[in-house]
Amino acid sequence: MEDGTMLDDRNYIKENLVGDIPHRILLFTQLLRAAYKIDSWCLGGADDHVHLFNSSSEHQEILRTFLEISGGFDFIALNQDAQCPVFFSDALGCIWAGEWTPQNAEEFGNLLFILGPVMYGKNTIRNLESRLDSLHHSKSVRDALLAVLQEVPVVEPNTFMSLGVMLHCVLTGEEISMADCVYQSENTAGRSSGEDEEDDILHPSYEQSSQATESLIMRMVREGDVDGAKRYHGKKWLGKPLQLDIYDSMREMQDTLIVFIALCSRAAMEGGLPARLAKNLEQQYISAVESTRMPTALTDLSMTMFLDFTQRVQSVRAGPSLSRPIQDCCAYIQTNLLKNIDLKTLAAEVGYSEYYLTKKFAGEMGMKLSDYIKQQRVEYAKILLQTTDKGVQEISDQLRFSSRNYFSAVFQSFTGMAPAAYRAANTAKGGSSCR
Amino acid sequence: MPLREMIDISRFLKQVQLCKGEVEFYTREGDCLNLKSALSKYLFAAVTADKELAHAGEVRCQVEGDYDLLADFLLVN
Repeated sequence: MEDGTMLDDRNYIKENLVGDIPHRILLFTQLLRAAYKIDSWCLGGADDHVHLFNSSSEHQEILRTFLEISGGFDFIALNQDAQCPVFFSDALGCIWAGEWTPQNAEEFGNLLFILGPVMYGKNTIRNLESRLDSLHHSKSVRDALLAVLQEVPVVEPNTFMSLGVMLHCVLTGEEISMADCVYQSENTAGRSSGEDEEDDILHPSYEQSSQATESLIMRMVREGDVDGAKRYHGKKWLGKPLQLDIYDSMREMQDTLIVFIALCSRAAMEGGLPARLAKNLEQQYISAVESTRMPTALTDLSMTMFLDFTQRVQSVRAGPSLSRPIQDCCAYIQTNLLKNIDLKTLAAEVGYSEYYLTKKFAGEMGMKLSDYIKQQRVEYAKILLQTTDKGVQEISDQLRFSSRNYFSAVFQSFTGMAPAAYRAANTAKGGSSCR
Repeated sequence: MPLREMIDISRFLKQVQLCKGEVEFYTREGDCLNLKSALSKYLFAAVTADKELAHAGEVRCQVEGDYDLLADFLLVN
């Protein structure tokens, strides 16, 4: 989106949105400003002509430029059909949330309401100061940026996500959960070609589970309580804030999620998920956390991981009719998807002859052994497509497919869509399970 | 070359992304901001919000042809 005339026209909102929505919007934005010092923005327009109708920001012009160069407009535009709050981060580590009005306003189409920027931790500004120090710019350049950012409020992730849910309620009257929102992830960030990646700074602080919260989450995973997990992860994210502010906040956030992954993995093992499979999943998710550079992507990943472990435990507990050797066979396959899996090794692993294993596997599982291996590799590919920016060729090679074309054909046969289409469909709308 | 007055900074930065070589903004005090770097874009946006700082600075392209791409935003001598 490009710049257009800057307007400050609250009347436009009042005249072009029906019912009590204008009143609710104006009240909500006043409350945000009064309680949290969070700015709100109302914009509208076509691709090449954006109008700013109203903003509560004292640094309206400069923050609008920040918003435009963040790429957030493109991400929100991509998710217009999602009809829910969209959260995204910028290269300074600030977080924004936005949603389109459900009604068309004449001339400008749907209006876009944006909340932000906020920071998730005090370290965001501290680390930015350190980064600026290392660049040795003059005081006037340094202060020009810091003067604006020092006014940006620090808000807990749970609080800001709740405000996004409230924004949706203000605009539509509907009640939704945090899980219904869209969170920008690595491969939806839309970095411009040629843009330098090294100086991106993302430093939100994070949260840690209280003992009671932790017990509740672990029980859900252990018992494969998928319904409970879906209800829970939509309401709250990881309990009490950690807020140590002792080191890099993004690192703090990643470490907290890694601990959470390890706890889910342990609970899943206690719930009956084979240990090797649980550890393998744990490593996959930790790798995804380490390669993530955006706080909004961590939120998405956390929800995906939590549901994935819970659903896998549910599957194991729902299928006790499988014999132990076939369970072991499945676990071996799931933990060795990145290696060549041959029938001889599999048979030796479970103590059957190759012939007997293929017969018994097909009898109990209702599918050929080779098809099961393909299915599991497709499941793994889904996770990689959703949580990493690896190319289709790289994923095909990693999962031992003989060619990219063959991988695409197999993937399509299981999912009904090509890998690239799956990535586009599942990374634009966050919070979806990787199963 | 100096920046024109009243330009749209985000449009200018999008145009910079289309340039073949590096594009730098030099401030009056000698700071060099690489306009293809994410952090420097924000610094540039902050600096140019101050009209005095903006017009005391100078844009330099490594590739001569890139000046044509930015012509709408630059004051040609």
